[in-house]
Amino acid sequence: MIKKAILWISVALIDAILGWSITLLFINGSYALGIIVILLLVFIDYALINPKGYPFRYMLPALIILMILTVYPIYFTFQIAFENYATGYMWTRDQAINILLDKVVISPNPKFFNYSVYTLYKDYKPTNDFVLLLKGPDGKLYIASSPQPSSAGRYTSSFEMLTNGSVSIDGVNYSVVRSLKDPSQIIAISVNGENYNYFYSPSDQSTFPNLKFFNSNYGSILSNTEFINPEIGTLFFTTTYGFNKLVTAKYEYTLSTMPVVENGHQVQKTVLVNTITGQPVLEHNSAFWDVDPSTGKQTMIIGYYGYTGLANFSSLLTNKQIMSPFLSVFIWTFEWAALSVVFTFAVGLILAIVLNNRNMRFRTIYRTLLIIPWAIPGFISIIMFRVGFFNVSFGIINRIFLGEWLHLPPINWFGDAFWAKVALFLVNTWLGFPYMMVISLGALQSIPDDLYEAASIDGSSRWHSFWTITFPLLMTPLAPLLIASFAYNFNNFNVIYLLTGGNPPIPNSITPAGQTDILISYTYNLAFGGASGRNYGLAAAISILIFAIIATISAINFKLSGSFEEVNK
Amino acid sequence: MKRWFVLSMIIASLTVMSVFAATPGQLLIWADSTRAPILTQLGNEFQAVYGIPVKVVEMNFGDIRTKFVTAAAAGEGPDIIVGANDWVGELAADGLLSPITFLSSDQLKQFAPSALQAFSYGGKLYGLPYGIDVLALFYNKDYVTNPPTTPDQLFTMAQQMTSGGFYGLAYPVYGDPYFSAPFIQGFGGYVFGTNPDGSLNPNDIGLANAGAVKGLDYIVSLFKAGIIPQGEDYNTAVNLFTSGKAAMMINGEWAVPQVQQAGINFGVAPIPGGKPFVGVQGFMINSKSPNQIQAIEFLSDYVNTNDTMYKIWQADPRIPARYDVSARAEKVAPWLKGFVEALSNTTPMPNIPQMASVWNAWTNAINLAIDGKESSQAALTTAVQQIKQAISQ
Repeated sequence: MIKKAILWISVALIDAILGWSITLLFINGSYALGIIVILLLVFIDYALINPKGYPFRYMLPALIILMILTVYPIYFTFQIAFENYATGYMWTRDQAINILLDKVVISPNPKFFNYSVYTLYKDYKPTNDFVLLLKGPDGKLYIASSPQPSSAGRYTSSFEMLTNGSVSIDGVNYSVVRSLKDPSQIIAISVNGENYNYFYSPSDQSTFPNLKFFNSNYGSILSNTEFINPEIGTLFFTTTYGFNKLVTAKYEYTLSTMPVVENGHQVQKTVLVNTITGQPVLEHNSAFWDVDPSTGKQTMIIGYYGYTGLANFSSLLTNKQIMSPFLSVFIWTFEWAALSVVFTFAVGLILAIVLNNRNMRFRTIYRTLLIIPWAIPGFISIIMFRVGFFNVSFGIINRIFLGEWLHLPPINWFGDAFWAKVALFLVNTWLGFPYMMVISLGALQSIPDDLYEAASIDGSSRWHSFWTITFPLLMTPLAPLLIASFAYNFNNFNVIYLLTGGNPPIPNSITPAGQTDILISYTYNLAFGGASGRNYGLAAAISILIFAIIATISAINFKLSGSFEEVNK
Repeated sequence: MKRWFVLSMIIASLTVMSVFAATPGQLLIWADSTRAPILTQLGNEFQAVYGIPVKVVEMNFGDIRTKFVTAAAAGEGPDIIVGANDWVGELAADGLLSPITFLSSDQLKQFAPSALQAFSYGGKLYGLPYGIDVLALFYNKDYVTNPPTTPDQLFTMAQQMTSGGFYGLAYPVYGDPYFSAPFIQGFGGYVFGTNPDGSLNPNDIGLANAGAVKGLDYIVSLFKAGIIPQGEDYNTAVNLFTSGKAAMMINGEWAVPQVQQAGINFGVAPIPGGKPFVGVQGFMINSKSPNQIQAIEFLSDYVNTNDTMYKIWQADPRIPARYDVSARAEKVAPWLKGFVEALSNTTPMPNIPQMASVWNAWTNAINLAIDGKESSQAALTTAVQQIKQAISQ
């Protein structure tokens, strides 16, 4: 009974939280993630409520992590590969329009207005009710009404000139109350008979104690307020003059409906208009463009991202810059992945066979020591190798091994393509052999001893038994792991990037590429070191391409080695 | 147990999404660990007077730029970021930054022109600079009494002093265009030419002109003469100088604390005949911030004062961008004088997005020439072709 109650309460809780997060995600426009969470919700409910779904309960945590960390990023990569998401195109179209509509530009020959704030006090405390007294460039006084919200986050206020100390705006009467001692001082403004007291002015030091209240209660309203007067125009607090004074300014772009020629027909359409030139804003190539009315020259104002179809893929295949060193990079990537597997497996297998000898003492100690390279984080040992071992003048290899012991000239490890590759294989073998050793040890132990006994009775040498018994029997369980290791090294960005950085460079190539660059490090430089900043769309397209290459190679490998069938038997 | 795990996973993922957004009426600043403590302190003082709370979030320097791009593009992110001038090109091209217009012409005159130029993009200023990085010549006063004034003098002095594990000059130029720039530009090379209106022209690349080739030849000659050991990287260069095994070093003001700690009796002079890049640090404002005017109040009324700028210098000792502040700082740190002198012949690191395609090609050219695989002329010509090819895409 209690168990049931706990179950239902937890189901309700999970549903409530997931439901809430789904709403949030949809409000934020993250539809993809929202749909994934909906699927999760359905699945969790099924697993918890339906008795048939009971076994799935044990899979839930794994599934959730799989969804969030694997499925979603893959989906996202595919989506971006078909978009022009890159530097200069970081907004959605709606966001881009909103940015343009928010732009305020100071008028040519601006007029400045000083201001003071008058506040309604209640119980001797200032309230959020206030009006402004403005002083124009010619010394005339104006009243600006309390800002009213107009559209999302924006406010408007009307201001009118005072005549004989009073004015009426939108049916509200305002009149100034002057100090009896000094009539030049306006101590309050009467709004429909209620007195608003002098509170703050940026030019009056004595009001500065009120600055805190002004900033925290009026600041965010005033910074988004448009002050309107039909004759003078509009005033703003701008980012040029801050809250020091108001200045004549206007929104740089407005929406307006005008006739546009579309497909040979004239239609009424809402377009952005530049209020300074009066020209409508053009829209093409995923961007908005201003037109200079006298020269007709177009300048890009802002770009936005969206679906562009196969553009990234076609630019990938037709781009000379990308394709020209592609073949040499591709071949080296292949060599790199294949030889890495061969070397690590060879070293790992030899050590495993040595350690598998039961007559050896301290086996466990050796085994533990040999796993250490695997336990140290790669990026630490790689940098140790680069700086400590392979440095041309100061590295141990050149200075001590070659210089002092063998009296050989130093090797320019990263300046010469051959030696850079040697260094890479040395480091990658060091990093990778413990894994191969561990899996080989496991597989060796599963080979029954009587096979060797029978072989030795038949007069087979150890070398012969290795090639006819050990190796074939090892390959059955290990082949899929070797293929996985190949795929891993195909994309082994860390070692390349941290050890050689792709160096040495290929002389005279059309695009910067290194002789030890593999596909992933080469394309990383292209997508993120290219002319236009970061090109996420192109990078995503490249990753999909690399994925396709690896998937094909692995599939062929699996097929040829027949690994899956063997394992299933 | 599992259910709680599920629950906490979802709550965690939801909170991560909403923590870093700007809120109206409160200033949010992203800064790295050097700047965050001093900004927190300044923020508290600002709040006490202005009533606007200032929240400082500390992040990795490199993360600020990338996270700002994603957060600001989603309409979130901080109101102010503290970062480097070479971010400006990308961020301004994306429309993520608000131009800085609040400085009067008198206020602008207080700044080193290269600092302002470095933060300008398309004719507009996008950052309030406060500190400058520049390369200069450190010299160990135990070995060098008068620092060299011409490249030839530097070469002969360094060559005479180099012998058996002692080096005349520590100069980590291999693989680092930034370090090669002083001589390549000093002899007449340039990265991008300028348009008549002062903006950079990405189609005019001067990295393979006669001056640039002469500059790279000079660098290669330092290696050929054995003055710079092969494979010397940044850390080895600093180690040579701080352990007293090098008489001179080309490095920036960020290396000063290490040199001081090593107890080296050092002086600083401009690089002879050198025209280094300047990198500038400063404050930038998010164009989508709901608190633009408040952010400007903070920067114009509070940060851009002699006292605050001096406090920032004490926390982050780069060369102050304001002359009055550097004059004040020189009284306690005389070595600043050499760096301030070096500022007079510099060029801002280009901040247009096209610069991204320059670094790789340039690095390769330096390495090929130093390794002796190609002549300076051939290596630089290839580099310029690669850059042009990348830019034309």
